[in-house]
Amino acid sequence: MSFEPKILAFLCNWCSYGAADMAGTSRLQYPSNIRIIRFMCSGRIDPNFVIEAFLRGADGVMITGCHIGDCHYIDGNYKTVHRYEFLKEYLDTLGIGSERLTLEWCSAAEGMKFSQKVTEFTERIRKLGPSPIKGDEQ
Amino acid sequence: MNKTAAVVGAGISGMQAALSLAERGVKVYLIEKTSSIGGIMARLDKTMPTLDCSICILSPFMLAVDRNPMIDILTLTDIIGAEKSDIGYKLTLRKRPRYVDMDKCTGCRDCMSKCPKKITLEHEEPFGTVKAIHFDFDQAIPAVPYIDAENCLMLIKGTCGNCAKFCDKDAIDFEQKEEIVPLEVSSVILATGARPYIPLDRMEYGYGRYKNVITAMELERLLSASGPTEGNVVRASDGKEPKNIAFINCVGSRDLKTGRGYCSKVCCMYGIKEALLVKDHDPGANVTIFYIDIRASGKGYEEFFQNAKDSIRFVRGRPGEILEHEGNDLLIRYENTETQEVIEECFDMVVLNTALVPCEETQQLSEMFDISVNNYGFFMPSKDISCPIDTKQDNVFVVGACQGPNDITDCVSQSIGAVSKTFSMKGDIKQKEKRSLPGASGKDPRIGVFVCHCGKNIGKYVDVKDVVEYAKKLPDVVYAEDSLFTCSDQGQKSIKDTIKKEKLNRVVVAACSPKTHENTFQEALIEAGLNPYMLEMANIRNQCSWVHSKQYDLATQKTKDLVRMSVAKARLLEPLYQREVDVVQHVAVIGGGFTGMASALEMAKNGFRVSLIERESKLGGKASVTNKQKDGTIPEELAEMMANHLEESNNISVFLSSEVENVEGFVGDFILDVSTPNGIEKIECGTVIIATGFDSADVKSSGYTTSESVITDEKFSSMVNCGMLDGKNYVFILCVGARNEQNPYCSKFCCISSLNHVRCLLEDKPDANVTVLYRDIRAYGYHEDTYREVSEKGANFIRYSPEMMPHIDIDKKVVEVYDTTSSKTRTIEFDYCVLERGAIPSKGTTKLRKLFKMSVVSSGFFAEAHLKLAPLDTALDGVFIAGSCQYPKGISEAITQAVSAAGRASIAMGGGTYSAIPITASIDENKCIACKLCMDMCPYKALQMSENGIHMEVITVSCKGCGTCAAFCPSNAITISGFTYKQEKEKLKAIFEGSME
Amino acid sequence: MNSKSFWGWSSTEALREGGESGGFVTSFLESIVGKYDNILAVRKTGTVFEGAVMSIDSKEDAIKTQGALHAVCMELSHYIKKGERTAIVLKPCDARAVIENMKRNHVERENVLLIGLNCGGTLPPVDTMRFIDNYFELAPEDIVKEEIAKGKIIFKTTSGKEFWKTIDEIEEEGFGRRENCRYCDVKIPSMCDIACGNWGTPAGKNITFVEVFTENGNNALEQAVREGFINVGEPSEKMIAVRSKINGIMKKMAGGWNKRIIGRLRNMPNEERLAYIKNVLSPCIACYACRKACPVCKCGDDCKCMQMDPDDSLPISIFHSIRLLHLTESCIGCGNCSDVCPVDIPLAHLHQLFARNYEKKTGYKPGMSIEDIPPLSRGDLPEGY
Repeated sequence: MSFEPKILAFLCNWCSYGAADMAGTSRLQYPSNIRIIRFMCSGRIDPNFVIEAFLRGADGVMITGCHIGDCHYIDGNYKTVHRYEFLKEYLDTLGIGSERLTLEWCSAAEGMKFSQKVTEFTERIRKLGPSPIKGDEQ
Repeated sequence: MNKTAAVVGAGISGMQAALSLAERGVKVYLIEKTSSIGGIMARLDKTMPTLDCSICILSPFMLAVDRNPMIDILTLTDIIGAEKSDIGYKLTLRKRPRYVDMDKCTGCRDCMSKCPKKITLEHEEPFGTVKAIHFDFDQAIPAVPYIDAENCLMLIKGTCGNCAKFCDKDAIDFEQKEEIVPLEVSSVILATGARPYIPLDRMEYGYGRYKNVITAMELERLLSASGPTEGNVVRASDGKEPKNIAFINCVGSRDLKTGRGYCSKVCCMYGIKEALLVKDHDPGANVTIFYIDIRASGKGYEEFFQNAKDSIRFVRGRPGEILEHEGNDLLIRYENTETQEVIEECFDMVVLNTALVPCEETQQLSEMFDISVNNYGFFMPSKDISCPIDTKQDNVFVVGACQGPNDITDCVSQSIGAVSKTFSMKGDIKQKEKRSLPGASGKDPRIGVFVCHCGKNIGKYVDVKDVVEYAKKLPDVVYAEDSLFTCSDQGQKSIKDTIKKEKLNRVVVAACSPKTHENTFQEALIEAGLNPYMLEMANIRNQCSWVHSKQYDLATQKTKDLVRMSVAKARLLEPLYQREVDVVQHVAVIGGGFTGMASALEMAKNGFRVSLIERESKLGGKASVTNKQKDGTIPEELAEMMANHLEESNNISVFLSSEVENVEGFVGDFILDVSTPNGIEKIECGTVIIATGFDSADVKSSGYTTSESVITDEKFSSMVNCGMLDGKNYVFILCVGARNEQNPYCSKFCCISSLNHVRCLLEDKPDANVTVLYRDIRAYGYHEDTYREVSEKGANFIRYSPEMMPHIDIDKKVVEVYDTTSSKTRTIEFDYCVLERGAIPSKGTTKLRKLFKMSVVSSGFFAEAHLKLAPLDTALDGVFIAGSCQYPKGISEAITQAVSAAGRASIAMGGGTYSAIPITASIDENKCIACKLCMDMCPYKALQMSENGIHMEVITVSCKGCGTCAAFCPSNAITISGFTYKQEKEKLKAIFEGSME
Repeated sequence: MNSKSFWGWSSTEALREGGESGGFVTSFLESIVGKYDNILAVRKTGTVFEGAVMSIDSKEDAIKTQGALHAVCMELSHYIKKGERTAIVLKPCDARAVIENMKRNHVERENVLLIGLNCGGTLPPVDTMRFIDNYFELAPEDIVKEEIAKGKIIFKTTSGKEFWKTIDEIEEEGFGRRENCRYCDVKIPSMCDIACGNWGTPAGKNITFVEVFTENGNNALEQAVREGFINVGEPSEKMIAVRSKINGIMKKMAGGWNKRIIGRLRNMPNEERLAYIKNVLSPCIACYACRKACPVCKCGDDCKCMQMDPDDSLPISIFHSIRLLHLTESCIGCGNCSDVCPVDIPLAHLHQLFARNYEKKTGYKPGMSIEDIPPLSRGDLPEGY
C-alpha cells in the first residue's frame, strides 16, 4: 500500500477553524489525512505539542492562525511566528526536518485557501515520505 | 414596566445597538428587511485602514447577536406603521415569507444545489450566480436560506419544487404567507443605514453601458474570497485580469448636479483600500486614483494614505468623461489640476467610488415617527453638536449611516450612545438573570456519544452505524447512538433523556462545527442538569463528510478518529462556571472638557455615582476658544450649561485642579489616588472613563513663530468671541504642526474648525478678504456644505504643497505661497495670519498611559480594543476612552463618544456584577517558579506577581483565555480551563492510537 | 558604561606573592567583606583536585580562597539566593547561568556583584589524576599548583619542578579539558561586573589584568583602592593587545573544537543525525540527574519535560525532546549534564548543538546580557511576516 501520511493541524478558534468550516460548507475536497485540534488562539500552541505529535507518529504538522493583524487576542499570532521559526530550527537540528512543519494564515472567509493549503501540505509530506523519527517502528 | 427596544436595521449599527442593549438586560427586537443580519459590512472584503478581514471580525459578532436570548431577530420584516403609545410606540410589522421553516432547516444547502433557477445578487452582476433559494452571503444569519419569490419556479408557475423534494428535514414551506404583526416597545433606534449610489444618472461615466466600468461595491465583492469570483478581480467583458485600473472619487458626492452636495466621507478611504487590495492580488497591476481632495481624516487614515502612495498613483483631477475605446477598454479624459494638463489615458477597468445615499425607507420612517430628514434625505438629529443622535421624539434615536455617511467606527459609537440613552430613559431594566450552572455528577467518566447523520450530509458519506458501534468500544463510553438530526428538538431530547437514564456525566456530539452549534448542545446539557462544559464536539461534517465526500471508507475511518479524539478529551473534562465579580457602582471620569462632562452627566443619568477629575481649575476644556457652531450652538454657553448640570447633580463629585497619581486594581474595583488641592483623595470605582482630550501642536514644528498679527487658532477664536477683530485682510494657514514629519497624522478637526473660523469671520465682517492656504480641504460629511458656503461668500482657497510651506514675513505682513493649482507664487497681505494647528496627545494622556499601562498608537493617542468594533474599549477591561484622547475629533463626535463610553461603562457596571468568560488561565502556585516569562506575553496584562513575590497570579477578570501564557510556561504551572495541557495531550495521543491507515 | 581596563594587585605583599597573579581577587574579596549578605568563592579542601564553595565572612576566609582550581568543576550559580545581596566569583559559564537566571527572575541584577575569572577551560579531576599518573608518574598530593598558559597545561610539584604538555597533545590523547570547555567560546566573562585574569600581564610581575564592565564593578574597585586593599595601574597598550590576542587564540582553538564536535553533528545528513541522537539517548535510565544539575533549569518536578506516560515507548523520550527544546534558547554550555550522567550520555554537546544552531539563525546567545531578550519572548513581528 502506498504511503499515507499522518498530518496533525492546530487551528485557532476564530479565523482558521472558521476557514475549515467554510471549506466544509463549500464542499471543497481535500485529502483525508489531516486531523484537527482546535485552540482558542494560535498563540496557545505549545511547541511541546508539536514535538509530541512527531514523537507519536505525525509525518507533518500544520499550524494555522488568523492573518497578522486579525488576531482575536490582539497579537497572539506574533508569538506563533516566533515559535514557528524556533520549531523549524529545532526540527532541522533534530533531523526531522523543518519542511514537515508549516504555518499558514487563513481568514474565516478563506475556505478555499484552507483546502488548498491542506492539499499542498499533504502532497509535500507524501513526497517526503514517512517521518524519519519513526524509523523501523513503522 | 420593563424597557424594550426595537432596533431597525441589522447592519453594524443595528447589531451593535441590539447586542449592547441585550448585554444590559433590555429585550430587543432587531428588525431587518433582508434575509440576514450583517448589512454592508458583511459584504466587504476588508476594512480600512487596518485591512482586517471584514467577515472574520463580523462573524463572531453576528453569532453573538444570534445566540443572545434577549434579542429576537426579525428578518424579511418591514415597519409599516408606528403610533405613540403609553409606553412608547406601537409598531406594525410586515413579515414577508422566507418559504423555509427556520426551526427545521439545518443550513445544509442541499436545496440550493438542486434548485434549477439561477439569479444574481445585488452588486455581483454579471458574475455571481446563486439560486432562487439562497443565502445573501455565505455566513448569513439566521443560517437558513430563503426563496426569492420572484424567481422561484414553484412560486411563479407552480412547477419544480425540487428544494422541497430534496430537503430531508421537510423544511421548505411554499404555503408561508405574509404576516402583519403588532409590536409595542418603549424605544426605537433607527439604524437603517445607507446604500451605495448606483451611478446610472452620471451618463458621462457610462456605468451600465460600459461593461468594465463598475462601482466600488462591485469591486469589493470581486475582491472578497467568498464573493462571486472567489477573490479574483476580472473584467466583465472578457474575464481577464485588468492590468491598468482607474478609480474615480466623488461619484455622486460633492456633486450639486445630482443633488448631493455632501461629502460621502468614506469613499476616499475605501477607494485607497480597494486600490491596495487590487495591488495585493496582482502586484503587476497599475492603479490610479483620481481625486479632488484626499479626505484621510480619521485614526490611521493619513498614514494609510501616505503608505499607499508608494504603490498607487494619485492624480488630482475629476475626469470629465469616459469613452469606450478599442473594444472594451476605457479612455478617460481629465485635467490634472496639479499640472493643468488635459490628458487622455486608457484603462482596462474603471471603478467608480460612489457615494452613500439614503435608503428608500428613510422618508417613510421619518413620516411615521415624525422626525426630521435633512435636505439630502438622511435622518437629522435634533441638534448637531450637543445631541447628535437624539430626534424630536424622546424615545427615537437615529444612529449610523442613516443620518449621513459614517465609517464603521462612528456607527458603533453612535449606536452605543443611543443604547446609553435608552438605559437612562424611564422604565425598568430587567436584572440579568443570574444563572448558576449545574456542576459535575459522578466521579468516574460516563460518556455518551451522539452521532449525527445531518440528514444525508454526514449519513451519505460516512458509515454512521459503524461509527456508533466503534464509539461504544471506546474507554468510558457507556452509550452511543445515531440520530438523523442531533440538533433537532427530538435529537436534543434524546440527549437529555439519555443523560438522565444512563447517568451520563460527559457528552460527545459528533456532528457539525462547535462554532455554530456548541451553544445549542450546551443548553441541552444544562437542561438535563449537567454542566455545559462537559460537552465535546467532533466536527465530522465540516471537517470530514463534506470535504471527503468521495472517499467513503477513508471518511468513515477519519470519523472514527475524530470521535476517538473527542472521547479522549471528554474523559478529562471538568465543569466550568461563569465568574462574577462585584462592581463598585461608582465611575471615575478623567478630564472635564466636553467629553468628560458629557460622560459624567450620562453616567449620573444612568444612576451611577460619578467622580469627575480635571487637572485645570475650571471645567470646559477648550470651549472658550471655540467659536459659534453652524447649528447655532455657542460652545462656551454649552459648556457652562453642562457644568451647571454637573453642579446640580447629587451623584457627581467634581475634583478641579486634580490629577490621578496612582492606579491600582482592576475592573469592578479600581482605586485611584487623586491629588487634589486638599491632599490625596482615594477614589474607589468600578470603571474608568478617560477623556483627556488633546493639546495643540507647536507652531515651531512647521517653522513659524507667533506675533501680534500672526496668531494661533485659539487666539483667533477668543478674539472673534470677544469681538476684537479689527483687520480687513485675513490669511489662514492649515496643517500647521500636522501631517508633517513630527506629527505625520491628520488631526481631523482642524479643517472643520478652520472653515468654522472663516464662516464666523465672514458673518461678522462680510467684506473681509479671506485667503485659506490648505493642502487638502478635509470637509467630510456635511462640512462640505460649510466649505461651499464660505467659498461662495468669497473666501479664497489656495492649495500649497508641504515641500514649500507658505512663508510669513511678519514685518511686511505678507505671506508668500506657491499655489500648486496655478503653479504661481502669490504674495498675500494680511492684518492677521491665523495658524491652524493640529492636535497632539495631551499631557494627561501621556501620564495616564503609564499609570494604567495602556497602549497608544504611533501618534501617541490611546489604542482602542478594536478600531472598528470596539473604539471605546481598551485592552483593559473596565477602562474606556472617549473623545480626542482616542483621536482628535470635533465636539459633536466627541460628545457622541462620551455618551457611548458611558453606555459601555453602564453595561460593565449594570447589575452590580461583571461576568467574565469561564475559559481562563489559572496558576498552580506550587508549580510556578515565578520566572515571569508569561507576564509580558499576556496581551491583556492579566498576569501579575503575587504579593510575596514567589508565584504569578492571574487577574481572572482580565483574562480572556487565549492561552498564550500557558504555551510559554516551562513549569506547566498554567492551566487553561477547557483546553488544558492534559486534555489536549490526550486528544493528540488519541490521533495516533487508532489505526489511521 | 564602556569597559575600562586595569592592572591590579594586592597591597599586601604576602598575598601578592602567594595568590594567583598578584592576589588581586583575594584582596578584592577582602575589601568587600561585610558589604554583602553572602560572598561566595571556591576554596581548596585538599589537593588541587578537591574544592568546596565557601561563604566568606572575614578577611581570613578570603585568604583561604587563594589559588586557581582548574580541576574543580563546580557550578556556583545554584548558590545565589534571591533577595540576598551576593558577591560571587565565577567562571564565564557560571556567570552566563546567573544571567539566564536573572532573565527568569530568580536572581536580581542589582543584588549581585559578579566577579568573573577568565577561563581557558576546566579539567575533569579524575581523568586528570589518571593523566599525571600515566604520563608523569605523579600522585595528586605531589601537585601544588596547576596552570593553563601559553597553550600548555602545567603542573608544579612540591619539589618545585614543572611538568607540562601542550593542550593539543594532551587532548589528542583523550585527556585535558572537559569536552564542553574545549569548544566554549566565552573566555572572558564580559557579562560580569569585573573580569580578572593573567592574560595581558607582564611575566613574573604578579599582576592581574582587570576589565571593569559596570558602574557597580567600578565603584567596588575604586573603593577597594581607596581603602588600601589593592593597587591598580594603567596597562600598557601592548599588553592590552597581548590579552586580546590570547583571547583570540583561545577562541580560535574553541572554534576548531566546535567544528570537530558540534560541526560533525551539524554536517551529518538529517537522518544520520537523528539516528545519532536517538542512539546516544537510548541508554538513559531516567534518573533526571541532568535536569537537577542544569543551572538554568529551575522548574518543579511536574514541569513540561516530565509529562511522560508510563506506557510510552517513543523514539526519543518526552523528557529529552522537551529538554532539548527548552534549552535551545537557554543552554549556556556548562557541561554539568554530561558530567553527572551515570551512563555517560554526552548531553552537553547535544544541547549545544541545538543552542548554537538557534544562535546561528537568530543571533541570540544565552547568558551574555540581561538586555538580550530571547526571540520567543519578543512581542514584535519578525521580518518577512
